Amino acid sequence: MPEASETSENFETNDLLKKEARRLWWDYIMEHKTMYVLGALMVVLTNGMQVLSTRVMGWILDFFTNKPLPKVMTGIDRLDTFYILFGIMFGSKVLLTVGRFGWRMTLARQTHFAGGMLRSRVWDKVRFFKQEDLANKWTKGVLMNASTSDVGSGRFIFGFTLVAVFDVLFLGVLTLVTMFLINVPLTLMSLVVMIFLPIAVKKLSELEIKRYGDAQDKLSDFNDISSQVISTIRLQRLTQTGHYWEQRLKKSAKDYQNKRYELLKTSLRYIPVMGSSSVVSYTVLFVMGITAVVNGSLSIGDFVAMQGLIFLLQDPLMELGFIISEMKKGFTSLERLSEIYTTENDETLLIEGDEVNDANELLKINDLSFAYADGPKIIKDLSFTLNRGDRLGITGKIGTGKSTLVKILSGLIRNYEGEVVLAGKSFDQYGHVNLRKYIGHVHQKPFLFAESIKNNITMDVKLSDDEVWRILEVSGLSKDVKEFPDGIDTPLGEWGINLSGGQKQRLTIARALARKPKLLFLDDCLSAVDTVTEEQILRNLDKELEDTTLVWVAHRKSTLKYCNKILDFDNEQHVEAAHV
Amino acid sequence: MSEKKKKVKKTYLKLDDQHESNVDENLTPDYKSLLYLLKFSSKFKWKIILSLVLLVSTSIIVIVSARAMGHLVDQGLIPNDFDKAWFYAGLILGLEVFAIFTGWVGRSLLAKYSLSSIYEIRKGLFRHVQLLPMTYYDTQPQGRVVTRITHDVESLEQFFTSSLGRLFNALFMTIVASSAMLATDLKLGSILIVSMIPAALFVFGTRNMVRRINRKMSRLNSALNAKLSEYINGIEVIRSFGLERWSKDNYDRAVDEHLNSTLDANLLFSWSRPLVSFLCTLPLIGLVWFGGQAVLTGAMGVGLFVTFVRYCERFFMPIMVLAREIHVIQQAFTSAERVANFLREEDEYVYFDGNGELGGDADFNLQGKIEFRDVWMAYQDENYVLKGLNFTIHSGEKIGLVGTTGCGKTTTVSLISRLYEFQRGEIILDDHNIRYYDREFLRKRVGFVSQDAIIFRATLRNNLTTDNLSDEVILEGCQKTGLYDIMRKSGMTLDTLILEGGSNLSIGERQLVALTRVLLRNPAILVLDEATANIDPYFERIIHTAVDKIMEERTCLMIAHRLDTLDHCDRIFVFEKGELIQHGTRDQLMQMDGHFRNLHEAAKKNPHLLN
Repeated sequence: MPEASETSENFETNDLLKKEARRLWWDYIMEHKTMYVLGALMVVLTNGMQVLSTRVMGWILDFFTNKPLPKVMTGIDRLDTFYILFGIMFGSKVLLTVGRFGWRMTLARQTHFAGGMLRSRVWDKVRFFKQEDLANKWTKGVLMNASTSDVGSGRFIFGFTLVAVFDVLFLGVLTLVTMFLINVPLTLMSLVVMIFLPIAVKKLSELEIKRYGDAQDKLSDFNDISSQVISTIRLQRLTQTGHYWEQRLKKSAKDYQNKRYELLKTSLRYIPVMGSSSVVSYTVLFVMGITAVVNGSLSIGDFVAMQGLIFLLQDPLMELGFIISEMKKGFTSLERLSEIYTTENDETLLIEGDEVNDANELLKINDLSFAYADGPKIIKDLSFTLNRGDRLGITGKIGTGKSTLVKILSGLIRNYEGEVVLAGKSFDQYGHVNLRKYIGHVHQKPFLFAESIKNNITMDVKLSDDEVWRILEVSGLSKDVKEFPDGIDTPLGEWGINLSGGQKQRLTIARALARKPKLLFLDDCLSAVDTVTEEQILRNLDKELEDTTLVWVAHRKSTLKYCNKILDFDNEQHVEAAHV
Repeated sequence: MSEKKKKVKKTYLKLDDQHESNVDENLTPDYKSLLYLLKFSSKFKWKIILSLVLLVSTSIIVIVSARAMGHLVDQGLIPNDFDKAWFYAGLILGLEVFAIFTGWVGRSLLAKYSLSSIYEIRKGLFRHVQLLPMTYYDTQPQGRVVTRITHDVESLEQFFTSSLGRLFNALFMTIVASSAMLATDLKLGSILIVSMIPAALFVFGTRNMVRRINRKMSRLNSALNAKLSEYINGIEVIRSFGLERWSKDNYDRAVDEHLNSTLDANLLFSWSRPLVSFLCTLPLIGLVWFGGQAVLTGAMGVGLFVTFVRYCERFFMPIMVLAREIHVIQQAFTSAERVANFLREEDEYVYFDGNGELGGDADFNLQGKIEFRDVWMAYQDENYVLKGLNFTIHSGEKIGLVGTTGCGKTTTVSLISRLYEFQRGEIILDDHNIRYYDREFLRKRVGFVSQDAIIFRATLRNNLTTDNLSDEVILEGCQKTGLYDIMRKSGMTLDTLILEGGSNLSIGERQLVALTRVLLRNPAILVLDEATANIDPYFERIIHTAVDKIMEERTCLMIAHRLDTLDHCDRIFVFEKGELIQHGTRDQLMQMDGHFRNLHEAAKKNPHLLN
């Protein structure tokens, strides 16, 4: 029974996402109505001119074979009529060009705008995702895939696919009307025999998309292995394991080659499908058309025009198949994106509460206990108070919960038992941004952005270069940075300079200092810095941040010599005054 | 890989040949590179030629069919000749069916054997990856090397499997249509062909704009993806600094930048594509203007006029195809050049100026005596990282190498494995110059254990050895390292399948497998680089015992990351800025007032100092 209810729930959420995707699409179109109407008109102009320029060739032939022409086209003499016909032809070609320019600049352009909108909304939403969602459901791979391939295919139904829709609609109708005007039975017959075309194309196109996906999967496997091979090349050479990796690459490349061949074979099936459609329509044209010409019910010009028009009719019919499968694919992508857009936020990040006011009793912890989901309690009945300017040292072995405690004390984890009071109020009463302005955090693993050193320090605060240098001085990094080619403007990341572990750690300290926090957590963040520099930084911090409350996590007790309170996780969890 | 290596790498990176600023220099694609790569398809030469013949015949059939359509009107319908009309109608249908067949088969064959040729190129690249000297990898960012074997080959593949077929078709269509037109009416034909020139010139003239904008788009697209990936990785930092707003602003800026490039591309295609179409209809317009007047004066038959109208339609296609595919073609040329250059990049054989012969025959044995005589080594120019190293290590000695990042200890052991050439001095192994040794032999005889164990998806046996050793010998090795006990406890046998990266083994087990592998290879010299990091206490003890076992009767070089590993050493070498500044036993060094003692003091406080 529970299974059944689960599936029905799944159906419901699926339906909800479908609705959401459609709403997203429709709202966007309504918002840009003018462009879409203009675009549709441009497609109509293009199609009209396309049909006209084919038709005018028929008239020209009729004119040469002395068949009667519509009145408007007849001039004072034969040469004059020829000029009129030529003028129509030339004009239609020019307008055709204008029309094509027009729909590209209006309708097709929406593809790109929509793509930008879809992509921007991904991060707009993900930045507020719950930590557990990011860890379990929305992992990096899934999100990256959504923002590349789903945006990639989802955006088309906002533009290019719609161009095709209007095109099929107008060109199909126009072509058919023109054909009907020339010869009704011939047109009907052509239509009947060509009806298989959109069906076959739709099937083929769906198969093609599937095969394309398969091939891409193998390709990304191959790319992964390639990166692995290049990144471990030194080790391979030292341990003589290169041969094995070479075999793996070969196998992976072969797998990809096979999938790719499947895909190409599928794509090449369009040749017989489209070919048979032209053979069939030729047959109809010849069987019915030649008979009609011979018995005089169809002019030669009309025959030639019909031939062109039947060709013209093939395009929209084929396109119909593509449209159906593209729409399907596009909406599936939009549904996946909608799932991101409608995922619940971590509400604590959106609280617009109070600012933190300085208080003498800064942090008060009462009977704090914490356990990760289905794990044992790693923090048990902890109580202590931190006053302004205190320096608390937390020490203990790896995995005893030091970093977790830091996250709780800084308000990043809130599902604990007990009470944590910051300056007289609970965390939920403060705004997220206000809290972060007040609290600084230096993480255990230094994470830096692929930007310049300066931008990594300032981020969203404004600082002059002098201030940046001063902060670098305090965090013991200025000497290193002076040696870099562009000083504080030296970029980090793939195309920039690669910092050593110690340099990274010092830079993350500088980043925290730049924001002048009143409460600063330093989570074992000098582990890769040599002792002389470490001592110097410790002294600098103690001196510079006289007013700031410091919480210092460290492996070794010797690092905590500036602390006036100590919490040792290896022993009973309680805070003692430090014995210095 | 050590920090230092990375730093060396970044200081003299080769210029990026993908950036737009470099496009201009590469405007003339290197046709020779494409020809060079063609030799990879020599195995399939005849099959590819057959497919091309089929494609050519398709073009010819199509053009004959168009001619027949003219005859149908000219000789059948206008003179009311029913039989002739039916004859041509039948002929056209037959030809069309035949053209579908040849076109389909030709394209399928071409696709199949193009893919096979690409696979041959890939194999060549994989081989070359293993043959290139380490200096190559040090001067190229990893991403770029990966691009050579992935993305660049992909764009070649794209070209060969889809564009080439269409292009070939289009080209033959043009040639056949032109000759047919010239044969039918020399003067009119020439005029029409000439009137195609503006379109061709236009496509040719705009090709670099297309290429530049495409590159810009793909560069900004990767930048955007990189940003998203970066922010997801850094979500902890973003959250704890309240950077949600800042990250969104930055991200949106990247989105806008990419969007603007796509809009630029949209604008470019908006005017250029319709204009190409228009220019392609110039022949038709010309035909109606000149031909029409000729028909009026009776100088030209209506049938001939119809035929030419059809020719013009055929003529229209190739240029359109060219316009659409030109960037794929250009990309293919660029990629061909890069791939060819990568393959032509000098390999180890050239880098080391040949290979030594010592050890080439099986009987040769290495004892493990190492002697450095005034060895100078620079990764680049005159920036020496080893400055006149002098030392002798006797066979069977255990040496600890100590020093802070960038002191030269990693370089020293790299030289013994012949990863790099050195500029001055001599390295003598067992009384022979190291340059006289066969490199493969040397690398096999110099065992290397690091904290990253390479484990393959294969049986345990194949993970341990690829030489034909008997199970007895293998199990004896397992017993020595303690792997045998672990196998018994967890029910593993030599035939147990180990999954990719050793995912069904613990870190400790993986390390044991790697250690046993080294033991079975029976190296004369052993290099240990942090073999016991990241391992839980239970395994740490087992692995220490295993390491002790392996070290027996071998010359050992231990790169010390923690000073307690030095307990086993006979002597300790202290490195500083490329020089050997102190050496001696641990006790001797501790008594001396110098660098080692300072290091020792410092490391007591900070266990990560020596990383």
